[in-house]
Amino acid sequence: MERVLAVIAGALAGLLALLSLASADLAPQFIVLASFTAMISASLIAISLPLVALLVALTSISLSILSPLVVIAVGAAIALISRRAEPVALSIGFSGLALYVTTGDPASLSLSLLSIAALSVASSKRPHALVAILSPALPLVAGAEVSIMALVLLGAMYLWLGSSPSPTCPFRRDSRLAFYGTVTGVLGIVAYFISSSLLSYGLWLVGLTMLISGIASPTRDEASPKA
Amino acid sequence: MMQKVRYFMELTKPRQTALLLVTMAGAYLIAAKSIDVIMLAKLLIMGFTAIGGVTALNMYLDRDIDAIMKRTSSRPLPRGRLSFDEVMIGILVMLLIGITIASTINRYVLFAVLAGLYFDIVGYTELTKRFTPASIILGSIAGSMPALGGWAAGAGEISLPGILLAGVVYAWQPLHVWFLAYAAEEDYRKAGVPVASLRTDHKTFSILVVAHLAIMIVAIWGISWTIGAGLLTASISSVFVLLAIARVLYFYKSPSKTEALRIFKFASPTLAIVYLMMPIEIAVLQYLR
Repeated sequence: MERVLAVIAGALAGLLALLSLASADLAPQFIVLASFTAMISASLIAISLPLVALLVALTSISLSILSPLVVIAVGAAIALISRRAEPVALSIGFSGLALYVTTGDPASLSLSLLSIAALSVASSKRPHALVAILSPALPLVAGAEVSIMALVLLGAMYLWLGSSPSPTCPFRRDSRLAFYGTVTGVLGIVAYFISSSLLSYGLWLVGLTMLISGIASPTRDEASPKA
Repeated sequence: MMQKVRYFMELTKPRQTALLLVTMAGAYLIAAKSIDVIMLAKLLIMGFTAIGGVTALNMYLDRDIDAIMKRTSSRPLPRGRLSFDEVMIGILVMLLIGITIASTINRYVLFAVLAGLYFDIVGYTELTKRFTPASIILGSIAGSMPALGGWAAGAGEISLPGILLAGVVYAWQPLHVWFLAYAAEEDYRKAGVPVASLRTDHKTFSILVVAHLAIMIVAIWGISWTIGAGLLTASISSVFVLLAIARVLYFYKSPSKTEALRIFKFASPTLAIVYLMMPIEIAVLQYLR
């Protein structure tokens, strides 16, 4: 079920990305859309992606304030059903990101990174947890752009964790393809911050498509070709 | 190394890619009304790498189906000729070249490339192909994107003639896909891929194909009307499409796999003639003026 939601959410994100290509200013959409790459990797919060897509599409202030609350509520509901802590951490993280887009306050980014740190501690991967614990300071020290990149890289890291035996990522389909997708998407985001060109946008969408393909892949890792 | 490259090139389905390149280049020439050789070269390289990369990714995702189907079981991936990393690197290099060139042309061309990628991989292959015969709707959108991209490169925008040029490819696809599936029925049934021509009786899908071909004729004349040229092409293309309709109606009366295969083989020229002939006609008219 989570996988289906993630794929649907990713598909919506991609469609929105395509639509935003026709609009004049890509920047605000890009920040949120880029974060999708990380968040789909982190997976369990997938259900909230269409809500944030809606938030970006409508850019209404009232909706902007309402959406993070809805996202947290949905995350809490999933947590209750699944008896796992990650959905709450991730929904808070995602809401922080949404708030940053609407308010521009770096503290909301810190909130996102803090939630990722909590998740990292929960998954007991100590080196990653250490990095993640330190990361909430990033928005205050290094500025928003570096922080967003850190957030996305942390998302990629979670995907990496998901490909090893770990409870963090429930998607065990074609995790190598998903990983290639994440790396490509992250490269697109890095390219965007170096020079906000159309190429970076294209690279990111290629990454997202591959990531979704990995998640929704009909064939598991074991069926991958071996030369 | 060269052998590996050859295997990878097989994943790009060169003949199908070539047909889509014809639609892209044709649409560009119709829009531009004059030949900018550098732009045309850029477009062809972009088209080949982007379409080839998407097709290879598609092949990777469908390798389990290809292994089951007799027609496709000898492809490089089911036979284990390429490793995962080799396939992925090839796909990424091709896509990177494609989107890099597209982004240097204009955002509408990039839109067409990314929409083609997205509708083909996510919409068609991942979300619908294995579950519903309606997958052809999304697959056809993907197939029509090269024509839209070609138009956007020549016109600098997405406008009605470009949408009609894409619409011609869209309306053509059932003719191409459904009759191939009918001819290779055992393969498709064994692989469990739902295709309309196997899920409905032959009369129903024949009527659907004829309806699509009728739309194709309307779109062809629509192009001619909106650009104010190409009457000869529209007339000759319509004759081709009418011949295809006649073949489908014959199939409606006496269905057979042999006839389905004949129709499938007739499909590609029916499409190609629009995109090959219209630019030539426009160029000749301009020369005569």
